[in-house]
Amino acid sequence: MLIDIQHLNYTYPSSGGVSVHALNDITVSFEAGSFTAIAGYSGSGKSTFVRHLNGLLRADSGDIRFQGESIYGKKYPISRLRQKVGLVFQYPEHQLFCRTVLEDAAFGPLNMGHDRETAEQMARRALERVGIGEELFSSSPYELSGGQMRRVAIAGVLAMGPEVLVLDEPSAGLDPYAKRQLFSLLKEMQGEGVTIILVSHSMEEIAEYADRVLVFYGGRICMDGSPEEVFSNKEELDRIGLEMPQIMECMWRIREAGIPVEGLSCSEAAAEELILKAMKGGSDA
Amino acid sequence: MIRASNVVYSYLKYGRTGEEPVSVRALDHVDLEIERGSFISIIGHNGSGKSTLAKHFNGLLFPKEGTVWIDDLPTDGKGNLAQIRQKVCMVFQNPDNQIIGATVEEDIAFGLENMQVPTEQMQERIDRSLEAVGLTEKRNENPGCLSGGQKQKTAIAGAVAVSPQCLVLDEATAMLDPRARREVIRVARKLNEEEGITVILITHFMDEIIHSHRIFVMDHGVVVQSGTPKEIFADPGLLEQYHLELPPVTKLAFGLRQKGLPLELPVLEPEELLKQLLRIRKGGGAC
Repeated sequence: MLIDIQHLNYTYPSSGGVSVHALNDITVSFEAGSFTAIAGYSGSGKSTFVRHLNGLLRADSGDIRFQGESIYGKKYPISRLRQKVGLVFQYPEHQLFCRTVLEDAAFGPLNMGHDRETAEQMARRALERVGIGEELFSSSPYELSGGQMRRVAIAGVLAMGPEVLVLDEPSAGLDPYAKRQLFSLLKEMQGEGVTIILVSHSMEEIAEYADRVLVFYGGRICMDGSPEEVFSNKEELDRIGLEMPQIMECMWRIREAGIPVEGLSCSEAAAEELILKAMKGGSDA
Repeated sequence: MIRASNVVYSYLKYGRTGEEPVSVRALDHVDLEIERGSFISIIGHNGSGKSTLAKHFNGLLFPKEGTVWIDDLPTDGKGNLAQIRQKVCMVFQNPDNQIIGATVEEDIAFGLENMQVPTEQMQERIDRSLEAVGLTEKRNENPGCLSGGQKQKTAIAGAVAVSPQCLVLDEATAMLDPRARREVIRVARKLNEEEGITVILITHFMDEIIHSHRIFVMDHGVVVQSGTPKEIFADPGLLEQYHLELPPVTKLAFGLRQKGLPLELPVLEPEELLKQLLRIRKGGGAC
């Protein structure tokens, strides 16, 4: 197992006597090459959780093992962990700071101890990866469009060659087209063996791209399964007030209204077939 | 309420030292009219000019060519700016960038103080706007401790207290979770329906715009399409062309129709799809 997490607890330092138990006995593991989405409302513990994955926050109790080794061990090289587990924050473009696009993307590799030439080469590759062409390398990152800035920021993380890529709401504020581009990049990286962990508010996105969904609620993981499994569990989703992808919502409504669909699905193609079949059955009867 | 005629806006983009700055045209001869009391949406991909246009509606930007009128006031920067900004209020994307008060109430009072509203009236206006957005219970809280949705509602309440005729939400839901997003849209619709405030919604979420009276689609600084939601969503190719997308249920209904189900298109909501399917099953579905 690539990442193995046991009984993780984390409480935010109390302010004014109220301490917030943000993570409550989290036990979960991630396989290499998997694509996992994390859903749940603001304040459910998602962002706090992912900040533990590269040691940015340290749990009060519990353990995280990365490639079999506890990251809380005395001699564990936490800086190496941070290269292997790349974390892309919300609105990462707010963290761009260098004079040129290339310098910004090369900052990580330079920090890793590479010489400038190697670092820039790594940065170039990463920038090309995210679709930022040579002609923009010497532009100021602030001159770019929002979507381009987001990609430069992601390239800065990719340049370090992470084995795990953790992204906290990477598509917020992007238009549908830019979102598609971003997700096809993530799928491509998954294909090359990179493990993807994605925090998202968009059930559509989750249903379309993730292989597995974890739903956080009140600092706990309350659901864990494939998107089809999780989004078919209407009772539990209603209890925690999480919405489902619109296609799944259609399927539920149709089923509850008495049209005999023989299954549930989040995908348009599958839903189309199920509905057509049910409607044909209906007209024969 | 708002009329834009032949509006051009361009800015200078500076390159490296020694290079001549280039003029970039963000709005390219925009004409549009927004009726009082309507709920309008503006969509378009990143960089299409939506926000630039919106900033012309309350004089944050002035046209380089052409004119924007708010009622009968041209936004030419000549003295009527205070009047215009009282008529048209804006709420922006990031809730943390637009809140300044130590309590929710104080934050709402800021605009009123600026307008020199007498203290006696102030309390009443604050009460009313808190109620309009449903934040009365939070009036004494520190806005910093509120959720993203509550912060955006505080910002909306601050705008509503000024008694604007028009509220512009510039991607005000982009940073919110789905529940908070729905809440903010619900408040905007309520203000539109019950108080008659004109709402201009700028967003990437197609599910937010299906109730608008009119949608404007922007691309490269130009309004390329406008129409009712039914008109805009009737042509899947159209939105794709501008890097936008149909809501999933609308796509599903298109697919079903192609496979022979006599659905009336476009379908904008799950509820509507269900109704049509039930109708077809009853045998009344022949087109």
